[in-house]
Amino acid sequence: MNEIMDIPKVYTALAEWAGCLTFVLILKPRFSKWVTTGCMGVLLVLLYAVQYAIGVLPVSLWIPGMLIALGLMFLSLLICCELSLPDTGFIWAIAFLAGEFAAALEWQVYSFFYGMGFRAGWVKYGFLVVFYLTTFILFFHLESKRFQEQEKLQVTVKEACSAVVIGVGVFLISNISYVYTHTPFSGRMSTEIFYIRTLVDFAGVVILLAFQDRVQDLQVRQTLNSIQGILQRQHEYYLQSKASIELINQKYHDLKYQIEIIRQEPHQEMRDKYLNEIEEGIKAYEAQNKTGNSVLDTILTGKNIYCLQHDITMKSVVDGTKLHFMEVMDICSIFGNALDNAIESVEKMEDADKRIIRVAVFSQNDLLMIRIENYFETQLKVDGGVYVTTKKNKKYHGYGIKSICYTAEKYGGTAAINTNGQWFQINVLIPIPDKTGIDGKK
Amino acid sequence: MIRIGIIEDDPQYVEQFTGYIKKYAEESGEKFDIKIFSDGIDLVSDYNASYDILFMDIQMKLLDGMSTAKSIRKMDKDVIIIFVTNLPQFAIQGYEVEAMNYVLKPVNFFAFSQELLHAIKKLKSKTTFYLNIMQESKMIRLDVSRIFYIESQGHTILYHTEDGTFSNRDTLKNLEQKLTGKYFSRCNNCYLVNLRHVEKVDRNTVTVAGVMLQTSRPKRKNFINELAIYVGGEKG
Repeated sequence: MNEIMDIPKVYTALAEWAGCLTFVLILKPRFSKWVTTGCMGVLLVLLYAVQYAIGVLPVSLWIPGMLIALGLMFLSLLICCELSLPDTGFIWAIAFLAGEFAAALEWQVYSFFYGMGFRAGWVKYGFLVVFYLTTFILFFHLESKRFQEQEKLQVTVKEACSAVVIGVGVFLISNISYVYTHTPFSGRMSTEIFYIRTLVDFAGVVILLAFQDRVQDLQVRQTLNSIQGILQRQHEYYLQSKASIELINQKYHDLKYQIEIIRQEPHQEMRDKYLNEIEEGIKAYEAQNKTGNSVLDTILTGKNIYCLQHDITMKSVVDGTKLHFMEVMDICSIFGNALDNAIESVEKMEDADKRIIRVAVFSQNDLLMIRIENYFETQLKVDGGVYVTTKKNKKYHGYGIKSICYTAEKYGGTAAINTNGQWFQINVLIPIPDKTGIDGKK
Repeated sequence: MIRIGIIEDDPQYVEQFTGYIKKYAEESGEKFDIKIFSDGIDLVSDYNASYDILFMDIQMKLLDGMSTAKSIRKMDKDVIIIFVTNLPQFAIQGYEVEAMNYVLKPVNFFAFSQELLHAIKKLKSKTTFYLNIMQESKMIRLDVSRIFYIESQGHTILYHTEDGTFSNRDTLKNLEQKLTGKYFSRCNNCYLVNLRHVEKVDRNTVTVAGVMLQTSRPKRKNFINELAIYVGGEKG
């Protein structure tokens, strides 16, 4: 029975190696085929050497030995695949447990047949080849399907840590019987021990695969959401440009008739008057904004067209050059949300004269100030220092200001809401990072 | 008495603006002294910093509004400049001369009066406020706007100002109350900072007149919020 006691060390090394190999085959390699092959060859030799040493050396060195083997696996994944550190950790845990499971299952089944009298050499190696091949091919299929759409997991450090803890925990529980027979979690009979190990390893693999599914699902959903957001915005832009083209067509139409009238007008004085009127009209629709920041120009121009169509006066005094350190999406988020907020507020007022929005962007020392304010007449509700939205559907609003706050805080700044008389102000203060860009932006 | 200069080459607009100011005066009870210039060059030629508010047309024949404002800024930091224009894109660079607001032609009374109201509010907030402190058995008056920050060391209070450091026995809590609404804010338990002099904010520090002070985590959020409201309101 002694021979059957435990998995031969070479089997363990092979299983660990196959676990890593599965992922190296699936994931995007960092180097050329030959370098990767070389790396994997070296890994196999090293893993075997470590496992051999573990088998020869006293049990007390089992843990350090295993740690070295685990470290080697981690390193090989990190070197051979183009992965981030947390991703490597996550994948490493799966690869390790898959290897453990394959080795445990094979040995459990083999030892059963060994007990029944199948003791020939070819049986031993036949089992090894058949079981390892089946297990890892199945494993390869399961994982390659998961990585079909996304090349990377992009797990957070926290998620990677959970995966590693699960992996190590499962390994310790499944192997505790081999190191210490006298614990509440140890089995005492070898077949029982084998079964415990296979079962626990199987559970571990299933848990990690489920975890991986969840992480990847979440990412798909997030990507979908942001794409939806972009599509929505593009659609809005489309509607806006359509509206402005219609506006221009209408103006051309008007202009044609006005020119006709001017032609027929005999008095020079009246003709001048008409021409001046036309000039005024054209100027009013020159909604161009040149701020020194092209993203901001686009946003302001877009919103300005909307304002012109809805009798809203939008007045901007803007130094766009000061926004150079901010990312496009963040500029969109701050100005888009704040202007939408202001527009929605002033639109409610009957008197078009009162529909005024003011935009100011300037810097003071190393501080960037973005101030967007609008005149208002309704009473604002304050709940615990937070302005409650006056919009009808509470569930969907109030996010605008939250999003501005979030963006400002990302840069170490803040968005403060203030009312100055009948003016509602959003003051976004952001520290301008040093030229080296150490602060504010990662 | 609020002194207003109107720099505008179109007599029709001049008439309209003076009418609006008179109407505003009647409604608010404010008193105004109005001077009219038909071109920027007339204002710049013998400028003596005797105006509180300037309503300035941007397109003028000899010296345009932006150039006039630039020359004026060299002589007068405090005057509030409000541009008047029919082309918004001319005013978009108003920040260069600290003219953060403008009125769009054709001008309606509401928009005009709102700008005037803003400017007057800003003027009134500029009135100096003094702290009286005992210094070696002498009472001295500290102009609050000249204080950089106030430091608490045990029972002693240190006033770091443009004119040097002063000290007396007081508590920061007491001073904080006295200076409510005067743009002072605590960045941690030991410092009460004059927001006017803040040059830089980092995640853990704030630079006031060249001196780096630590901010404490619980105070930072409120501090930076008050700073945002101050900076946002200052060039209003």
